[in-house]
Amino acid sequence: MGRRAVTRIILVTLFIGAIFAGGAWATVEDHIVRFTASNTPNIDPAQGHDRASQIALVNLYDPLIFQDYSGNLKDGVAESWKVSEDGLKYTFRIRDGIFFHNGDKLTADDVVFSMKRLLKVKRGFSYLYEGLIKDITKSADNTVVITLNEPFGPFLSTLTKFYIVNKKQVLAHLQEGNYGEFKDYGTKWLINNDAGSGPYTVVEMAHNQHLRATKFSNYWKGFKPGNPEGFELLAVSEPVTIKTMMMRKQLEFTDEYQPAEVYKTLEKVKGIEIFAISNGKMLYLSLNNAKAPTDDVHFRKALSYAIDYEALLQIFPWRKRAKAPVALSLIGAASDLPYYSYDLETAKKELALSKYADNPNKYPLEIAWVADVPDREKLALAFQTYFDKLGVNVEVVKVPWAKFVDQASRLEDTPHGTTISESSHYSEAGSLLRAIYHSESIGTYTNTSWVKYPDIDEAIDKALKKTDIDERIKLYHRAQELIVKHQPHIPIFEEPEVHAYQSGYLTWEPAEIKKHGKEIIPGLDLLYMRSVQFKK
Amino acid sequence: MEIFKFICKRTLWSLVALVGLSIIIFTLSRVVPGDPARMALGPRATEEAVQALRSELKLDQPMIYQYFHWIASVLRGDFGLSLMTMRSVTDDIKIYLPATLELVIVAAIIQCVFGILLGVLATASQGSYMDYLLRVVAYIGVVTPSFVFAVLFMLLFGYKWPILPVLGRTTVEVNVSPITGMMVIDSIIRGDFSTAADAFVHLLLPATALAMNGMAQLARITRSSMIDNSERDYIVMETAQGLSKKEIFFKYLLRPSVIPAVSVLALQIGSLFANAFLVESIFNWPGLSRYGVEAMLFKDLNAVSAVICIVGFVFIIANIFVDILVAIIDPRVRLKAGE
Repeated sequence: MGRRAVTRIILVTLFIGAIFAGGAWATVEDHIVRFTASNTPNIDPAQGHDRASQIALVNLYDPLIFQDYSGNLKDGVAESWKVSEDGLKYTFRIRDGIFFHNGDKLTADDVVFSMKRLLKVKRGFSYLYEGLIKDITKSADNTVVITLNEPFGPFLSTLTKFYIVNKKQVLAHLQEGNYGEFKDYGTKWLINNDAGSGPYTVVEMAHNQHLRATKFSNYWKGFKPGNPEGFELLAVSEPVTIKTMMMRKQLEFTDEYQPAEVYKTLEKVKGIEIFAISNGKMLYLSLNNAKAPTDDVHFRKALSYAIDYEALLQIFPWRKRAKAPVALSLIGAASDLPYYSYDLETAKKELALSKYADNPNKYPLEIAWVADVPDREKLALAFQTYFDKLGVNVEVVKVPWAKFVDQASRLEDTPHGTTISESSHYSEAGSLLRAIYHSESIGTYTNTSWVKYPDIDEAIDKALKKTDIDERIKLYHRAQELIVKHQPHIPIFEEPEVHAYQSGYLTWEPAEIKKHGKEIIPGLDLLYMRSVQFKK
Repeated sequence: MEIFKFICKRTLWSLVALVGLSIIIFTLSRVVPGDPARMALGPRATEEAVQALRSELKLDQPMIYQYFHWIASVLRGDFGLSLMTMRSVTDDIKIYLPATLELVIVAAIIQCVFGILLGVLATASQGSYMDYLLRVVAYIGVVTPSFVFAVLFMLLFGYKWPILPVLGRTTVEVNVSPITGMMVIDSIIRGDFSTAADAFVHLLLPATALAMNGMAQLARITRSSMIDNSERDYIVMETAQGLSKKEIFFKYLLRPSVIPAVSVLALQIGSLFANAFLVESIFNWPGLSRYGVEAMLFKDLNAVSAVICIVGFVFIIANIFVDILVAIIDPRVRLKAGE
């Protein structure tokens, strides 16, 4: 047989093989839900904190406290709890009958181990508890006591991000590391495997490609008919790829970071719907209050009145106008405050009251937009147009994210204004109030004000210390009144979480709630797979 | 002997280039603004946690110490911890490098074979409509970036006529430990021809998209080189000796004419790695270029330094390989190298 013949045989074999090559890991018929994320997640509960990781964790692990879409705290690992009078001691009764994916029973020991591990590794959501938790102990076989250093009202809400790992399984997979007797605390093993008790269990974790997980048949809460048999998180972010996959029904949900054009195109496709919901995320023009001319409260108010918020909504669909310093979907957001809206006359009056009334153009404003989010340039340019009407010159600057985070740590390098969006990390107003307006966050990208407002700090601190929710809400309200008075930053709109999804063959609980005219309380991830059902 | 001297010389210079590259990359990645530890742990992480990570990464040490510590680790094959994946960079590279190499090799083969073939075809039909058509196509190919082809292919073969796979490296899940990490080769070694075919078909669109630009360039270079050489004295002499046109074309004209094309190919390897990023993103190809760019955005210092060093290393190896190839094809280069 000649060389040519051999080559031909190989090529023919390859192509025939390709035609008959096996099917995909997932098809619609397999009832596997496939969705995209900008990166593969870190599936270790002591390390993962970004968006992809949050989706993975809520599906692979059980939190100590579970929050449903209505904001009810129930059905978590903790069956019930008691809070001491002084708000320092939380006693949790651990639910019986929860099993990890390997068959081990979940106990109070696992809860104590998971929190100690989280605090020791100091990554992921540990920032929610560092400095706050004084001690965690097992007081009985099914009881865990957490003691706080100081009262923290929303503590229970933060525990929705505290996931329980299987102590025995983690200890069996320790590798060399820096944590003394706990070596690496299982950090190397847990980025590729799970030690959870959640509704789904890891099949394959391929970094930069996908996370595949399958239903955990012994899940203690069970499943509803049509719940996905598994899910596949794909690290794909290219709009053209995502569009093609959605149209080919190779994807059930898109991520929320796609340009508006992608959603608009997909909206026209039969069987695909766009779901947008305010999920506690706020977009605001973060101002440097220590630099002229944004150091003047009247100047800041003038800018606030000069922005045509309604017009911006035409450019940025699915957003909601900001009507309070924090997103209205959060518990404790003040929906009754008189708020800033487009009013050029009032803007001019405010400008006249400022110390820069005579020559506002003497101090050009530097407004930065983060290069990693291209849409923000449009926003920065819109501000340039609006502020020009007041005679204020604006220089629009493009800044890479890493550089901006660095700049925000120094007063002199912080621009006059930067377009920033920030999410709440628990379902209450206190989360955003603390991140955006409290002086403790100055020097981070979320608060570039560089000026302390003691009255705002005091109101937020008081609110967060109240364990009674009604009292807390009252104090949140007070804090927001003061923020409106000082206007350290300019909230622009509530940033929604937008997904295109295959409504033709899927029912999705958050979308159903919205269709019934009800609101969702932010907290439980929208891509919690038990909220998805394949239609018959 | 000349060839041996030539390889030694080239290798020595390459080592010097690699050391220089490592210093530049190390310095650049550290002076770019942004705190890698803060980026990795998120803005809400406590200062204590950030400091602990900085210390773990030796970022609190003087730059010169950091460099020597890093270079000593690299020489042991340890590129450090990736802040993006929280795994060893060496482990990440073991996964991503073969994927990109596979893509780049197939793209290089496509552009070399079809580029030279189109150049030959254009020369053979010089002055005809075919020649004009090929030249126009080549111009379009040269000026169009790879990602445009990738998007076009995705829309044409992914959506309009869904006949070719557009995502990932295989359709079927391959749960065996890699030999080379290159799916097609590994599957052939194992005798799993179905997977080999599947992996090969998955390579077609991304590799072709990646190859288009270079292919057009090679076609143009081959054509102009062949036309130049066809007017040389030795070709006139061969014609006078009564050799057939076909014999002259393939035996005496083609060989010296592909030398410039082969030399350009070495430079193309570098741009294939660079362009691979967008192609890998569009086709969800888990390769090194995509990993490298994501590492840059994440300010993952160890990963960035490792990726650039490895791409530099591959580029240098490819250059040496092409230089040797040119020396084999062209005796003049061999003689010059010997001197």
